[in-house]
Order: sequence, then C-alpha cells, then structure tokens
Amino acid sequence: MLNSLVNFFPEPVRPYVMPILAIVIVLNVNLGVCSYLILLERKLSAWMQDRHGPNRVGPFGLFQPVADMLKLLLKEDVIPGHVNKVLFVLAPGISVFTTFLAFAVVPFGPVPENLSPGDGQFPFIIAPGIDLGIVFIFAIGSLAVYGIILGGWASNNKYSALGCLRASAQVVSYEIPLGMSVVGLALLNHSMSIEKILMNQATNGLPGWNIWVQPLACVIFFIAAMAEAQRLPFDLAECEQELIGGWHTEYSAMKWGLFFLAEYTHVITISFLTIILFFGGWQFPLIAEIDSAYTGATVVKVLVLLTKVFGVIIVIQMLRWTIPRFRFDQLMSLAWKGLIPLAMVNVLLVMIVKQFDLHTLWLLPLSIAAFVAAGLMGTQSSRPFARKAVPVVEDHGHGGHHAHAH
Amino acid sequence: MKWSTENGALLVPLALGWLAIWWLLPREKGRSRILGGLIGVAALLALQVTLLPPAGNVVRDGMFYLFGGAAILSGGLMITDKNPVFAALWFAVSTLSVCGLFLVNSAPFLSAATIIVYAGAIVVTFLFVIMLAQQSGAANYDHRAVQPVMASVLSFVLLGSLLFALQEWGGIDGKASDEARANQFVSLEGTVQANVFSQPPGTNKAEIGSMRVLGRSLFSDYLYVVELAGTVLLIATIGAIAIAPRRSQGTL
Amino acid sequence: MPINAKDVEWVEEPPMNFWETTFLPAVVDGLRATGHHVTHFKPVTQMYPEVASDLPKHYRGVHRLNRDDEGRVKCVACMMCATACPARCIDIVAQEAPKDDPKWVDRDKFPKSFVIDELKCIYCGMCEEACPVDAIEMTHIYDLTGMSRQEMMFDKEKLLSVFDQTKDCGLDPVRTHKGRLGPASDFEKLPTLGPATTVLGDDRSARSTSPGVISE
Repeated sequence: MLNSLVNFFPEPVRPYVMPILAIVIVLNVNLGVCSYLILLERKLSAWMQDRHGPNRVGPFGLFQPVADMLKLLLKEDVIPGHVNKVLFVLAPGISVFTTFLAFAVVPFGPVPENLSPGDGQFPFIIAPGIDLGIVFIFAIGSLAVYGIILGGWASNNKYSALGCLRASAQVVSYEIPLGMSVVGLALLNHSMSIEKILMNQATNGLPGWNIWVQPLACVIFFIAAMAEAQRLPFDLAECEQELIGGWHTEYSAMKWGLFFLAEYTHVITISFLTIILFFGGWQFPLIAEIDSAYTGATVVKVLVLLTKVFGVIIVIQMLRWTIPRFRFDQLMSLAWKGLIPLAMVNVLLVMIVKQFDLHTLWLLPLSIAAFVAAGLMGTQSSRPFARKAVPVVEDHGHGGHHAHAH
Repeated sequence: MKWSTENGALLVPLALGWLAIWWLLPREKGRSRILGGLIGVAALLALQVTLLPPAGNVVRDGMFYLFGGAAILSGGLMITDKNPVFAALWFAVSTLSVCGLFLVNSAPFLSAATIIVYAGAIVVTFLFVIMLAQQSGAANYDHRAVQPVMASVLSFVLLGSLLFALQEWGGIDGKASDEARANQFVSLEGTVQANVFSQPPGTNKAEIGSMRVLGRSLFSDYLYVVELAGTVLLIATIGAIAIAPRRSQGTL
Repeated sequence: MPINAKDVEWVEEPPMNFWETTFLPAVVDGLRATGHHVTHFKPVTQMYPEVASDLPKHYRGVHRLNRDDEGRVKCVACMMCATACPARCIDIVAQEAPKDDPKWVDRDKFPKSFVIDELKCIYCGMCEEACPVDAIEMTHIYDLTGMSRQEMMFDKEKLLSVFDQTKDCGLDPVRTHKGRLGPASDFEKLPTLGPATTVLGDDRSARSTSPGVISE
C-alpha cells in the first residue's frame, strides 16, 4: 500500500515521500495528543481531588481541547508595552522548535532494518540512522531553555525574571545527571544511537530490557528528565503560587499556548525515551517479539510502545499532583549531592563490569547496593536538606543588626 | 611593497574588517550602524576573492557559506552590541553556526558536544549572571568600548597572522582534491605514534569522525592532553569550592 | 527592619531514617494515596445547574416581607432595618395607621412604601437581626436575575409576593416564635421552627444570656 503511494510520485521526489509522511504524522498526532493530554491531566487531577473536571463541552468534556484551542486562537494576543518585542515573540517559537526537533530522532515504532529512502517502508522515525541520537536530544534539549530564559527576560517583569533565573540554573544543573545516566547504557550497548539500543533490547527479549541492568540509571534519568521538562515537582520556573506562572506571566493567547505545547511535547519525548532506553521499546513477551511476523505485527508493536509510553505519561501526571514542589536549595542539593554522584558511581560500576568481563546482570545487585549505600550515607553524618542549628549569640546594644553576619 | 601587493587579497579585507569593527564598537556617541555594516559587508565580499571557488556540491557549499557567514556576522554583532544580553545571545548564535560548520565537515559528535557545553551551559550561565547582576539595566561601562583602537588592531593583526599562516602553510591551495585535503588533516601515518597508547587509525574512511575513532584518538594519541585538561578543570572546581563564601546557616 | 537574632528559633529537623533518605517510599505512598482517590472516585462537587444546590439552613438570599395572620404586612415601619443596613439599601416610608379602621386597630404605623435595592444589598442579614417583629427575613432564593436596575428594586408588593412564594416550600419557614415579640408577631396558623442553625448544648454561645454573645 505504501509502495503504491511512493510510486504515485515522480522519480526525483520519491526519497522524500516517506520522511515527509513521517513528519506530517508526528506533527499532527503530537498536536492532537498534546491537547488531549492536557484534558487527561485536568481530569486526572480532578479525580484525585474528588472533583469532576471539565465536563461541559461534549460528552465527558471530550471536546474541551477544541474549545481551549479555539479560545487560545481567538483571544487577543497582548504584547505589553514594556517588553522587548523581538525576543518576546521569539521565545515561544524557540520553545516549540527545540522540543519538536528533539523528537526527530525518537523512534515511535519498529524501525525497519535496511531502511533506504524511496523503498516504501514507513520509517517510524523522522531522522533514521543518526549515530548519536541521545547526544543529539541532549544538545537540542539544552537549547530549549533559551525559550524560557528569553521569554522571562524579555517580559521585563520581576516574576518572569525570577522564573527564568531559576530555570537556567536548574537546567544547567540537571543536564549533568541526565547525560551521565545514559553513559552506562552507551557503554553497555556500544552505541549512542537510540535505534540500536532499542534493537539490542528487542533482540534479547524481556530479560534484555535495560531496566534489569541499569535500574539506578533509570531512576536518575527519569528524575533529571522531569526536571529538564520543568514538570512538578521541579517546576520552580513556573510556580503558579509564588511566581504567578513565572516566565510566562506576561504571555497570553496562542503564544502562551505554544509554551504549553512545548512543555507537553517535552513530556511525550521523555516518556518515549524512558520506555525506549530502559523498558524495551515496542518489545513485549509473546505478542511483540523481534521475530513475530504475523499480519499486523507492526501495528501491535506500535500499540505496545504507545501503551507503555502512555503509562509513563500517567505516572508523570500523577506525580505532578502527588509530590509538592521542591525548595530551590533542595533542588540543587538533589542534583549536585544526590543524582550526580550516583550517576558517576553507576558509570563506574558499568566500567568495572565491562573491564572484568562479568555478566551484565551483576549490575542489578551492584546498582541496588549503590542506591542503598547512598541512602545509608544520607542517614549518617549530614542529612541532605538539614539546616544546622547555630546557637544564638546575645547581641547587646546593636539590636541584632549584625546577627546575620556571624 | 611587493609583498603587500601580492597579499593584497588578504590585506584589503582585513583592513576593511578592522575599519568596520572599529567603527561599530560601542561608544558614548552613537555612530551610523548602516555605514559600519556596509564596510563589514565590503570586507566579506573582498575576502571572497581569496576563498576557494565552490567545489561542486551546491548544497554543501551553500551550507558552508550560510553557517560561516552567520558565524562571522553574529560574532561581529556580539562585540558591537551595547546590550550585554544581546551580546550573549549573538555569542550563542555564533556557537550554533560553528556547530553547523562541524556538521558540514562530518563531525556530528563535536557539534553536539559544543552545543551542549557552549550554547547549553556556558552561554546560559552568562545570561544568568548578566540577568542577576543587571536587573536595573545596562551599566555605563557597557555603553562604550574601553580601548577600541588597541583591541581591534591587535585582534585583526592576530586574525591576519592566522589567515596568512593558513594560506602559506595550511595547505589551502585550491588544487588538491577534497579527499587529499581531508587526509592531510585527519590521517596519521602508521609509523607516527604520539605516545605508547597510540593505536593505528582505522582504515575505514567512513569511520572518520565517528565517536569510536574520536574516543580512541582522545584516549590514546591525546591521552596526556586530555588528562591534563581534566586535571586543570578539577583544580578549578576545587578552587571555586574553596573560595566560595561559607554560610554559617543553611546548606549552600 | 532585620529580625533580631534572639527572636529567631532554629528548628532542628528530626533525623531521617534509611527509607526516608531514599524518598522512594514517600513517593510510592503519595502515589497510592492519589491513585486511591482515582480508583475510589467519590466526587464532592455539586452538579449545580442540573442538580439543585444543597443549601445550608441559614442561607441568606433574597429578602421577603412576612405577613401576619390577617394577611397584613407584618412590618411596623420602625426603621430598625434601614438603620442597621450597612449598604443603605432599604428605603421605608412610614404611614400612620388609620385609627378608625378596625383592620389596623392594633397598629400605630405601617410602611406606605418599602423598597430594597437588591443590587446594593450585600446579603449580610443585619436587617433580619434588627427587625423587632421578624417582618423581614431572608430566603433561599439565590438565582436572582433581572433585565434592568429598576427591576431589581424590590418594593413592598414584590417582597410580600416573595413571602407568599416561599412560606410553604419548607426551606424558609417563618421563624418567629409565637407571642415572643409583641402583638405584631402574634399569629396562630403558620408553622414555626426553631433557630435557623442548630446550636449544640456545649456551645458557649448557647449558654450565654443573649444568644450569639460569648461572655467569659
């Protein structure tokens, strides 16, 4: 069927048909899914708080995203007088651009081997064969913070400035554990290509899932990715309660909507990455193995992958309404004193296992041991978030003016 | 005199470029940016004479000129912009353009790493500091260059020397084929060993620029340099922690 | 004004045990709590337009002017409510009761006109408290709408019609106790009820001499 579609076009443009089809599908599905994820999140939060959630537009509120989108499109697009107009307009564009670009190397189905342009196979990835997929995603993800920084700075507003300052410090800090957590994976799989890591897991079946050998890395990756995506409990840049939305305080209408689109695309991307890097991608015992070739196996594989991703998204959304927001010093402590050392230890363990040719499953007990050791260290000398009590010095005569300088 | 006429193709654009930058450097009294910009464009066009003619692949050459032009342009804008935030942003654009040049020259890992380190971390830290320090607008010293003549002359002398050296001994003679030129830069002769850890380079041309070759080269040929750089960074980190003010209360 | 160091009390956090330092059990606990709300979904939302709101007994909605047993307006035009009103939305014009008319033989005054601006009113219930004969009361009617400001000026007839409309609906019983408040509040037939809110026996306000005033 796809072959005839490709052959419908003249010879010179045939190699571009499938990539363009993939891009069109990804973009449109992503837009639709994002708006319905927002509905799901509102519903889920309502259920958790014993409310009904949006239920006015359509049955069970199913047309609420349409109404929201229409509202965002038709609203007056206010650009306040005191902002830097160029950067103010540029910022949401950068946010959306970078998050969509990051999705280019994420496979959203079984990527066929021997993929060549123009042969009528649907690629299931926008940019196949990129050797350093994970590094590419990190590079693009590190650019995503520019949207926040520029938006916050251009808004010329104290809340926005605070928000973007927090965001920049947070993203720079959490890039390190995010990158280090997948170094172990790259070492074990001899590749940084997401497709290859996925194929390695799929070939080995359920025992080959990377979660068995890299559980610690999975936890670190998940936490750091949530922090990169500015999701609760790490949304200090947004912070509705203290910063009134932080960097997007001054934004309205579709520009504000673009920021949200970017945020949800980011959530989708990190959910895909978590599944593909650690939970075997589209592989599932019995129904979606590497050699399952029954009719519609490809569809089943895509559905398995999407179901897994949906599960991660649900967990992320549930975490949002479960865990309170971190304080800023706690956020920094978690990254620098918790995640980064643990990620380093994890890389070290992988190196030891590789160097001494141990079975890779040794990494499971070793990772758990490292985690337990970290927990035990936390109970000992210095508690991570504790403030040390300092005896109050009686300050006669000066009324305590210098008390803070002790 | 003979030397200067022979190298006029290099000297004229350098002089024009210096004039443009010197004219555009921020001062108390504003100058015509259009005039400076025109001089800068003239410098770039004059430089075009010395550059190689397009080597055939139109897309590749187009990409090269796009990224190269963007890098030079944003670099110039970076040092001539009065607003430090915009200067930092132009620096980011310049870095991204250079990353594009890396990509054109099939060094994707270098490109991605540069984006992560420079655009993603260093420029963000610059912006952080600028925004934190200058919430009430730019200070006076941002509005004027301190030593415009000295700085611009010195930097263009340096640039001229680099270009001259590259032209004389860098092997850009416009005659060698693409492959020969690539070999000149990347392939080591089998007998040459930087140190005892060096391994013979792979014969597979497709692997040049891949992460495997890069990693092997870094940790064999350039082992001492890498270790030295790592040690320097570690010392810097320790120093930063040591001189950071301690607080009697709190954890930071 | 910096805080005096003496006034600052540094609180030592209790030491965390092993599981607390890993944070994972707390996260799992939280997820279980929130997940339980999803799986055992019991909404507390009132589906208002479809389902009528469950209003409390002491809800303060639109006013009404009560009638006595003979169908006369119970108001004696004493102006207490207009004086008590913080929003100054009550306007009363009093008229002397005709002495020779047997209908008004037990009254000195009655309101010739009685207008409440429902838009100005803040629905505080002070008029209800101030009325000596319990003539003005607030009902459960909350969905009050009108097309013009004039429409929202409720005059005597409209307020009396609110009374006719609400007296039997069960939500707004006439609260006057028979014979407590003088001849104007005396009537025989209409049903009565106790206080609008139930006062528990152990409430200090219930034991006080004057209701609502707490005396130590």
